[in-house]
Amino acid sequence: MSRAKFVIYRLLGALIVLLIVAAACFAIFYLMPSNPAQYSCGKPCSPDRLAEVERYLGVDQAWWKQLFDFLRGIVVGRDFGAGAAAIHCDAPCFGYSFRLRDSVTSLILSRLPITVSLTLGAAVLWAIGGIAAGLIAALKRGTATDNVVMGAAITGISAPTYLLGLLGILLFGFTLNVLPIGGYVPLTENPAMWAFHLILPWIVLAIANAAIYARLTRGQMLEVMSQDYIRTARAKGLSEPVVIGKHGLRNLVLPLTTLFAIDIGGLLGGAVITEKVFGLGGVGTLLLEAVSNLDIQVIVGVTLFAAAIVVIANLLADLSYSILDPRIGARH
Amino acid sequence: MANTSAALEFSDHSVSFGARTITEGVSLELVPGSILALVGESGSGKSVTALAALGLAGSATQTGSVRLTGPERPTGEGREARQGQDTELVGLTAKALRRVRGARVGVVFQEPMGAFNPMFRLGHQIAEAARAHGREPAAAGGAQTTLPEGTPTSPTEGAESDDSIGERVRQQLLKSGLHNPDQVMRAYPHELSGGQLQRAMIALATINSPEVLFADEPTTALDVTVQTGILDLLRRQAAEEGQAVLLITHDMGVVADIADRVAVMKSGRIVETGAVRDIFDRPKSEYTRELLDAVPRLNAAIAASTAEVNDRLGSPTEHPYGSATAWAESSPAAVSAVLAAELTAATVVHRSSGRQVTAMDSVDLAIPAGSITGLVGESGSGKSTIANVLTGGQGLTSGRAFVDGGRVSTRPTRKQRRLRSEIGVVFQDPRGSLNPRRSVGAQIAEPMRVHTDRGRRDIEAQVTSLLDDVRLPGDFAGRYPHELSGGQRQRVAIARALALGPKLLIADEPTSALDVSVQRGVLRLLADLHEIHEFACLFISHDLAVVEQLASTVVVLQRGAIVEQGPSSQVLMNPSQGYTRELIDSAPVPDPEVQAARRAARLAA
Repeated sequence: MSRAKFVIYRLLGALIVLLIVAAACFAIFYLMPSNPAQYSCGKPCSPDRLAEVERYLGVDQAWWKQLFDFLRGIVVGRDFGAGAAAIHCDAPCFGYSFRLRDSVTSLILSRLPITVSLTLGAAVLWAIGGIAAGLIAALKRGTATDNVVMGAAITGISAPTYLLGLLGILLFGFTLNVLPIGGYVPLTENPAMWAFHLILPWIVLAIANAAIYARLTRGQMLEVMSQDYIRTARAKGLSEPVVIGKHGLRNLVLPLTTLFAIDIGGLLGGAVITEKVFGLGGVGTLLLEAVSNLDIQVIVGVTLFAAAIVVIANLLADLSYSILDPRIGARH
Repeated sequence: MANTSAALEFSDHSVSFGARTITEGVSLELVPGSILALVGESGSGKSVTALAALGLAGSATQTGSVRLTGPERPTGEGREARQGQDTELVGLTAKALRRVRGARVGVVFQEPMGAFNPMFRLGHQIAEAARAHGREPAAAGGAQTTLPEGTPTSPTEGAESDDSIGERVRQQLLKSGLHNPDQVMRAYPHELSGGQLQRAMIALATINSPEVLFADEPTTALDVTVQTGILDLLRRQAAEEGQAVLLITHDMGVVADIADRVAVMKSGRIVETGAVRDIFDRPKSEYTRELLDAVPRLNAAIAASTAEVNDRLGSPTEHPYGSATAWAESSPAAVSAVLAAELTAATVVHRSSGRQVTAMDSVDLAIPAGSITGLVGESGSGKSTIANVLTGGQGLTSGRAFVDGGRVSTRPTRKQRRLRSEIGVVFQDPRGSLNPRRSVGAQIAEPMRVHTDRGRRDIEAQVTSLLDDVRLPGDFAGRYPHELSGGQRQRVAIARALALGPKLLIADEPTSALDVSVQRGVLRLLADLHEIHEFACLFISHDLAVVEQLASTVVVLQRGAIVEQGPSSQVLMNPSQGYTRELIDSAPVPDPEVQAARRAARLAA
């Protein structure tokens, strides 16, 4: 299969996955016995007003008509209500929050820089830290160093993010008083303050993930180092750093890329807990607030957005395989 | 001891891992221009002796001495270890040992596909070896590796230029018999065949013109027809490049073919050392004699050789197992007209990335009930595909397959289940085909539990009887595969295959993973069981000698198609097809004189 064909197949597949996710979200929030109009109606809610809201939201229509309107809104935009009270939602319209008086699309976009800053910064930290720790543990296999590093990794995996976050805030924010305990400064405004405010969240988010990378790296490295080609590399007279760093590490790129893509994709959809702990108003916080306020359009919109990011991240990972591993895909 | 002509000398060399001693008091002498074969069964310590000396055996500790005494060679600056002085490898620092590896001692490994890193191009991997020892261009031109047109030498000291290294790699690949070096250099390992890779590996191992070359089972993973070329190449490394070659192998045919001297190893000790003809003609130790006796000999190949050699070996009736024809006649198959399995115009075509690969090309094959049919051919010739089709694991693109009169398909129907219960399969590697977490008894019982509604007692009794059939004590039922030796495991696999009293036994290279002495017992067992249970057997092997012993009919496959079939004595003694002859001629015979004659004939051709 040519690469172009592969990409097209995968894109079609991704589209189907997203459709299924959209339908599932829709089913959960719109077709359940609970009436979404009820939440938007306010209290007290007279039957007349409820009917009006239902019409406004379109929930008085048949379910397939509602789904169609929703999907159509993503492609061409959508109008809620009619006449003077109509609210227009530009394409791609993932819904409209009547509570926040903004389209879900623009809500997500306004929160996205925070989530991206948090995720990518943490990702750099955990990738470097986790892979380095895993390599050290693998090369010092069975020694005290190995035990300490892997023990720390297990602790990192088991410690809940909120606990690490709160401990970090307590230690660096209050006891030592060296780092801010929350808040976000846009990168464009002041890069130094941007980084300064994010250091603690980055470290906390990185610790939880680095542990997984350390374990994966260690396991893979131990396997790779037992391969015949490592012995060949040594038999050539290559120095040990070259044997490990080149012949060993090169073969770890594939599994690490896979994991990295999945993790980044997952977090871009909202690092809910970390954002909450550090008061960062990112996509995760948007979702959290929507849930507590039963702002269904936002819930559905953010869920779909997160699903789309995960699907795209996996697609990119799959596409990178044929570049990263000469054995996969057509080379010519 | 002080033999100054040796390039590498092991004296009283021992290797141990922690408290476990692997080899003890090994003394070997590697002489320039000569091949020393180190033979012995798996686990005897052959490889570990060589690898430990180079610091490639992990945490091994060594005692004794391994002296590298090569002649002084032009070297770069600061390479004192390579000046004329002897180098003691035992106890050498890691750094100094690294300068010996790949520069003064090259290594060729068994599995060429695994020995190259799948992520890098071959040219790069070979150039790495040259670069690691950063020889000056002048040295490259001045050493034994005389390049046809002088290498572009740069007057400045320091690293050789990429172009110059690339050219050296090219020349080295050409010398190793790869006629399209540019293509090979650009290729990744998975794009080449095993034979090409092994030639590239020899090019890699010898690019720095080492004095010593270790070849650790260099042809074990290759087809016989490919093996010949690799052995010729190794022979040439010794004869023309003057390298001292240590050939580690378990194959006495290979030894007879290219070794000058032989050292026989058993349980970590050298039991006998001598010139190759002495070892074969007048083995002094009991163990060497056993080892030689256990090797299956292809009567056909021997018969085809010179008459005087034939006389000396005696008539086929003196064959350790009796003649092939005698076995065939003893089988009741000869009279049976009922077919245990049949293929008619069976074709399998695989489609991958737009290309079509024909794995089986209108094969017509009839396996009479109670007979043993040998299936031979190189890897990729479709031997295992036939087995897969008969067991319903692979569908046919066209044609038909029958087992016990029923048409085989891949559909999961009750009829197919019944047909599958008429087939027993024994695979090559019992370590992989037995589940390490289930007891031997449970695994032998499983087919009966799946296909019959016999009671537990009944099944247990049957397991004991099957174990008895394969000559294992009944209490083995409670053991686990890791507690068994390779031969015992394969006996368990045979017992499991026979659990349902199948009409057809498919044995896919059942002894290829076993040592010769063990192989002999397993083959004998198969023959005996065949006589008792009268199943038909499809015996797949690349070893013609084994097939000749066991099978009454031989089918020769090439690229998915049958090139020749008939009674084994006729096909192997008097092949009508060139390909069959090539297979017979390629398989080395464990007789130095026959091999010398063949080699002379081959080189003259």
